[in-house]
Amino acid sequence: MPDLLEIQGLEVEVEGKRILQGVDLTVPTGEVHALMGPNGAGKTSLGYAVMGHPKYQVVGGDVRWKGESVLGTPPEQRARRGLFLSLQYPTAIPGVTTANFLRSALKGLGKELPARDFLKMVREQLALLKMDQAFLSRYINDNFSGGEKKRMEIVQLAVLRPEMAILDETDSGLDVDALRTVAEGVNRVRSSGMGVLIITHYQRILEYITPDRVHVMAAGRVIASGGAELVSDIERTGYDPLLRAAGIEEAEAAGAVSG
Amino acid sequence: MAELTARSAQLGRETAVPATLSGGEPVAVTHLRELALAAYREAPWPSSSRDEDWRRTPQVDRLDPASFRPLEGPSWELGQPPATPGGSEGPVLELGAALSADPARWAPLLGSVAPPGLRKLVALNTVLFHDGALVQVPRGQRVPAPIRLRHRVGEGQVAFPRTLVVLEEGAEATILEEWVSEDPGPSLMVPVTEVILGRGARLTHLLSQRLGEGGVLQSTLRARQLDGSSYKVGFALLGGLWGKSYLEVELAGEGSEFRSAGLCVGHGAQHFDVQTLQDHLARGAVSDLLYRAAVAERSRSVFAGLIRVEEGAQKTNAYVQNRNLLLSPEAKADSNPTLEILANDVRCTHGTAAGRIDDEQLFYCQSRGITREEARRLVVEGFFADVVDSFPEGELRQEAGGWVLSALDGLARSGALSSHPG
Repeated sequence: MPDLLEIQGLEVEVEGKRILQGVDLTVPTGEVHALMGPNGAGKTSLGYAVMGHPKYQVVGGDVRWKGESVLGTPPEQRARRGLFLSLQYPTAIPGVTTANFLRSALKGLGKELPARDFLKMVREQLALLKMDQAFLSRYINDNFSGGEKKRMEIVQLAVLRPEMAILDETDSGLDVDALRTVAEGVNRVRSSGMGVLIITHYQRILEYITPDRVHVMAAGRVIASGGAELVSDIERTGYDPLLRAAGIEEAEAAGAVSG
Repeated sequence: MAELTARSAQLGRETAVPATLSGGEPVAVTHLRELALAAYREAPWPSSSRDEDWRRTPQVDRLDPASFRPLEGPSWELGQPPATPGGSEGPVLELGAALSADPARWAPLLGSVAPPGLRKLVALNTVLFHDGALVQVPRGQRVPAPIRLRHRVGEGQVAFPRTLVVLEEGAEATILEEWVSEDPGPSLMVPVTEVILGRGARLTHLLSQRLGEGGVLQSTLRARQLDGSSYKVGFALLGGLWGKSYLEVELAGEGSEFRSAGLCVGHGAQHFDVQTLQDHLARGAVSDLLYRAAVAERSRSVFAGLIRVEEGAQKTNAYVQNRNLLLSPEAKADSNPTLEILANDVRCTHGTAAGRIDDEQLFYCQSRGITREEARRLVVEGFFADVVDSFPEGELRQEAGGWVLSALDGLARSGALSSHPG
């Protein structure tokens, strides 16, 4: 039996403004789901809310993981229970080396390793993501290019080995080679049985990672779900038919808050 | 004993009874003390309302040396003795003994960089030091291992550590100096360290203040650098209740170089006042001073850093930078780097910044499994990284890293890393 990430009727506010209007979405471990939708649909907000960012206030519904609600627990506890969020704009922490950051994270997750094994594992993952070993001693995300930050998120995904990962636009800003490298990274963790929710508004990355399910969000809720074929539908016709079917005006779909 | 009691009775803001060096005092030193006593009597007690230097440190208005007993034992001790050149005796000598043995050589240097008239508390130290350390490295010699000097003060005591460092032409040394007290009760330490670097001499000098909770530090470190000399200073203010530290360097020789990186970590009601001077007197000298302060709870950092470039000091390259991290809404940091430039062909810059821990950084750490408290610790540690990294890998970087770790432990113990949500 796979474990489930169950998002049920999730309503979220940011600074008093309603962003999510009752999102329903279930992702089992061992599957890759894609979450698509126009800008401002609430995709990024969903990721933040699931991971417990304090700015995203849950005002209704539930987020359950392995049958238990995670609401009200701090992000680090969600991480310890096996959740992971890759950020669209990973944060730089000047002065904190990648090695130190990853070591602290593993310690926090209760997955500490002997120094030698730790270094071996991180070095391997850096090599797989075609990143220089020097990144170990560079400050995490500090003066990294956009692409380097995205690769580093995948290095972290592989090193920290969560059970359920939400990847927020990990594909944006990557050139074709980088995109392929990152997609390979995701496919590797996928084969380990991890559940993955890929947030994207391009179809590009889905040429390399075939999703088991595709969900479309607009105006703060999921308006359509289907198999991988939904991706090619969207590619052909855009989001308009789906929006119309859901009775959503274009202005409303775009929302006021990006992401 | 009777003499000490008498001194104690007459130690006050207006006057003091001069000490004599243990082991006999040369006439030249007695003369210096007379000048110092006159300077001490003449100078008014520092005032936060009158003196620009003290404007943000009103604690000085209530400080009275009379409320402390002068330290009776030695004011300094050596860490593991360095196996070294430096004459047959090694590089570190008791000041009194050295002055008695060769007054013509050492007496003119004592008080030559930090003269008694410099400030009231320098005068007081000069009146009252009863021993001291002389670090001397002869021409061209290199002391391979760091020299460790420790100055202690006990509860209820005032100490006047005096250190004279003389590196002759081309000499090299590393000094690790500590101001410590194990007792949590009130104490006062008034150290004066004078540094003289001959042509091409190279000194690395790390200082750390680890006084107990009630400790007050009033320190002066002043250096004079000759042509082509290099002075690298690292400093850490980690303990005590409050203090003021002067770090002043005269770049008196062409092409001399001064680099300094310091840090301070405050919690509770701690108050750290640091005042620096990069005094460019000669052509083509370089100076670079970086000071980072992290203040938690109600603690406060005050920084004033002056780059002064004299008329003849063309081709000066000087930089002063102060960055502050505020860890609580009540913590405060004042920063005032200034330039005073009389030459026209120079490159001088200053920078200052104050900030708080970014919530996004905390969330990022937390989303990877790091607790909020640990995340704050990590960010603070990162804040000090460029201070630590400014030292060469090995013993010195380890020492500076140790400052940060003990500061972080102090913050964690006080709850300063967890008590504030933001």
